[in-house]
Amino acid sequence: MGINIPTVLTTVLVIGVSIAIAPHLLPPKTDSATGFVLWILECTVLLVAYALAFMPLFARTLFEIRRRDQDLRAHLGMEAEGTAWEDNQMKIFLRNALRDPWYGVHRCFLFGSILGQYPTHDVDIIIQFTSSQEGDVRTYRKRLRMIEKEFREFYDLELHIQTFLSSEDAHLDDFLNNLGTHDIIL
Amino acid sequence: MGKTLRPEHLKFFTARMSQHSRVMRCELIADQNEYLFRIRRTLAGSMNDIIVHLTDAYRYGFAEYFARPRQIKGGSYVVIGMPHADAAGDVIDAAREDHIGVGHIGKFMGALNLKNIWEYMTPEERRHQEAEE
Repeated sequence: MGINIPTVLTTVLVIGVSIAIAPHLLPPKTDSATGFVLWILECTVLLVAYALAFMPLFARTLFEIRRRDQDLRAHLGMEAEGTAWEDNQMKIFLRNALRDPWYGVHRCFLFGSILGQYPTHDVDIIIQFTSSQEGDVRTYRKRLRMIEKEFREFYDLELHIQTFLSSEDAHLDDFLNNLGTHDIIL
Repeated sequence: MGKTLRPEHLKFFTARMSQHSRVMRCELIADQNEYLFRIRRTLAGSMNDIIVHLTDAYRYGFAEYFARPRQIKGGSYVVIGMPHADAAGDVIDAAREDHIGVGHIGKFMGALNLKNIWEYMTPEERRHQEAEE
């Protein structure tokens, strides 16, 4: 991760302001009302300055989160999905990502604990490739690592991918029959 | 394929390795995508080190075998990491021809006693082979 210069500068500014205002926040040693009012004013000014120093840091973080979310949605073409995004976000994520022929996915299913709404540490999916050639399968599997990475970053969950060759229809059907419930993604 | 095994699966594997009389050391190989181990066996010289891929596959078929880590070549072993997972018989045969063993931890424990680990067969596999012959 690279150093973010504006964030570093803002942090230095916040630390500087903190050191500067700390002694002034102590109550005045005088008993006069004027001294007390001046102290209140001084505290207010310093706290506003402190808040202003913090604001860019918070604003930047919020901006980054929002931009990242928008980028991902735009990248996956999810803006048009409307409320479906909220309801089936994982399915939509996977469908939009895996339908790209670059990943060589012929069929894809979702199964396991994720369908039961149980707490889970991974999401089980089955992928049948469009090819049965060793070279193609190695390439497609390598490309799927990108989807795994993106999924992990977005959902904080691992994708647990079970793969089959295009020629392994019988094996795949047998596997699906033993599973019981599964959802078709592609 | 990936790194989705639960901690108890990894613990079970390493505990079994530490108990085996032929195993001197079981070292985790740093890999971003897969669980890989180097097994150093006793009687070094006559017994080679083994690179093990502890797979998280539910069914170890040809797609998984084709996409195996590049470190898994002749003399290596693919251990099925989950007790309820299985391996397709034809993949086990194909891997054996490549001098790669495939099986559950119990089978691997037996294979560790052989110099040519891929040659080890479970009693069931032996019966199956005899029936075919």
